[in-house]
Amino acid sequence: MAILAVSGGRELLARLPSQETVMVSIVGSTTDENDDGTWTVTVHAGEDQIPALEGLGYAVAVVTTDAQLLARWREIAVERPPEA
Amino acid sequence: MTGYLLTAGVNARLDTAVAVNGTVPVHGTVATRHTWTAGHEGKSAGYVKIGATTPASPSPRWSVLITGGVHARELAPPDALVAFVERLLSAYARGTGVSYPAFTTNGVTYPAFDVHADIVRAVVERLNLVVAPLVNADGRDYVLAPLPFSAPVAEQELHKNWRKNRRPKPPVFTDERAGGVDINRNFDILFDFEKHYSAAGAATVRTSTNHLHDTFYGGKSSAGSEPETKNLVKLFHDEGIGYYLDVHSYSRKIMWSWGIETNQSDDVAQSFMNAAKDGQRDGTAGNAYREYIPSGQEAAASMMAFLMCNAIATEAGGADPTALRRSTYEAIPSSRLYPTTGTTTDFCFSRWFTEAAAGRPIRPVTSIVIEAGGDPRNGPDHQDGAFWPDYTTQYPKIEREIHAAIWSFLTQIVVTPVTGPSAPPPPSPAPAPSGTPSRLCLVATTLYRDPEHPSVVFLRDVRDRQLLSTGPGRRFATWLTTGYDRVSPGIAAWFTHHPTTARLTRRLVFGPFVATLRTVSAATARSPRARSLVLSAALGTLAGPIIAAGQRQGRRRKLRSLRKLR
Repeated sequence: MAILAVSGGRELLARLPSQETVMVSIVGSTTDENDDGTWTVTVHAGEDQIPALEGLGYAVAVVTTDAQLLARWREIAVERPPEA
Repeated sequence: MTGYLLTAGVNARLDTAVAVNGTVPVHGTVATRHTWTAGHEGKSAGYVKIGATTPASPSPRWSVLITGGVHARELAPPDALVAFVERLLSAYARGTGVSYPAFTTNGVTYPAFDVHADIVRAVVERLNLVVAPLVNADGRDYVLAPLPFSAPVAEQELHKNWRKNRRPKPPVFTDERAGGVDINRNFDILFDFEKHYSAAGAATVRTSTNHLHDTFYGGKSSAGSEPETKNLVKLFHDEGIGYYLDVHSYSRKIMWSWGIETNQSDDVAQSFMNAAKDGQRDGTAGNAYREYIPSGQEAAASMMAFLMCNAIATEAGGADPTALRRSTYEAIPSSRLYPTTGTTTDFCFSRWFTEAAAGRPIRPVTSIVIEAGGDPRNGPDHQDGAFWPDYTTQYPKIEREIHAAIWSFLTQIVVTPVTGPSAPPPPSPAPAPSGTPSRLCLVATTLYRDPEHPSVVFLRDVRDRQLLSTGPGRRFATWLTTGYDRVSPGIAAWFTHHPTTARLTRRLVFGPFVATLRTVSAATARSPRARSLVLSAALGTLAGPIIAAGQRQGRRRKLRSLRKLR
């Protein structure tokens, strides 16, 4: 699992939720319009999904790699409740 | 051990806060703990109700709900809301304000800021405040389940990236991802979205009918099916929630309803309740259908969101330019590129419409979502850890931002008069246009003694261009200029004869007013629609009372004239 920036024309990017050939988790509130009329959205998906996304016409940039995110997950600390 | 709270930790901290500070000698009970239905895996954190009754308390008062932890993987909001409850109750019990110490991380210092004791007292004594820090307790514990370092990558990903609740997967599936329902797609508002939208529109909706997707809505005809959803629906109803804030992460945005479609304020027939529009809703694939929201309601909600952004920037961000950049939030309507159906906030807001339609009108509802923390794709100033902020170096900054936003949210509600139940108003007819768009701002020109002074030019641009991007903005601009034309000659003449007062007014009142408008305009420049709405609200708040007073005076004068005629 990585964090990816996925860009494309408005219509193409608007269809991203219904693309069945890629498994991505869209962080919807991150959608932004770029100065050139394209849009970009942040998604969570494995780096192995990048070729499929690019095949659908999206431009993809890796923000956080699979390995970086895995390392972060392994260090998440949890507070234990006080003993009764 | 320091780290994020499991459900048991949330319960322990809330129980302690209420046990220690939930009763004060003077006013008795201030806070109470409440349980609600547990999730599929038996976890529940319940909620806290806060409200003291004193002789000064209004009756009735606004009921306010703040929730967090709807999405399991968003680690910061539940901890931040637990800390908020603790600080609020502790400060009220001691009769003090709340002090946030400065916080330094990665060489950047975020300043100390204080919340005055009067605000603490007003929140507790003038509102019914309900805080549910962890809606999706099952999901939270699934995300935070300790896994061995050697756990397979797929297992780590499954847990740490889990968003839904923990409804068991149907037996036909072997893939663990088929379990769970996105609570924030499970509410009864355009739930069966494939029926309500056109095919092209439905393709843009960020809700899924696929069990494997993390926005899975729960299955056909399953609106409100989940225990967590039922808990919130009951709370909205039982507490009569008038203001709702749902805290999520991430992207540093504060958003107001609707999320189901882009907003419009001219056509009441374009409503989620109108079955005749089924199949015509076009999401963001087109502009033929947009959702009706009363213009006054959208102006108020957008202003509230903007002021919350402003509070985060000025209090949690402060004067350091880097700190300020890293605490800058954007106020936008919820529906941008992706409409969403079945969300908590839209459902809560929709009750204002549906209850009135059922003959049981309720008070107006305002729903706000905050997406706390930066989006890492936006560069070095946005590295807040996405869904999983580091507890020591990143989480404290996000907690400060959430708290600054909540204080602003609550303070605005405290000063809002409690209105009675009402149906959402229909569109107000556009007044006849008056004057020419290029005429001067008479008062501003008098104060600055120069029709081409940059502030005068800016104000003309606001009136003649920036306000005109939306129907409500155009109507407001017409109302403003009509009223302004009536009162401005008298005010300008008075200032001409009182130059010292004019100079002081320019420096102490008009200058800061224009500066505020400039900030609003710059902060919303990327969305002309949002800019129009927020400027309408800002101008309405600041200049509206003067114009309204002028109009009242005009009406009184007319009445006197009529009486003389008799």
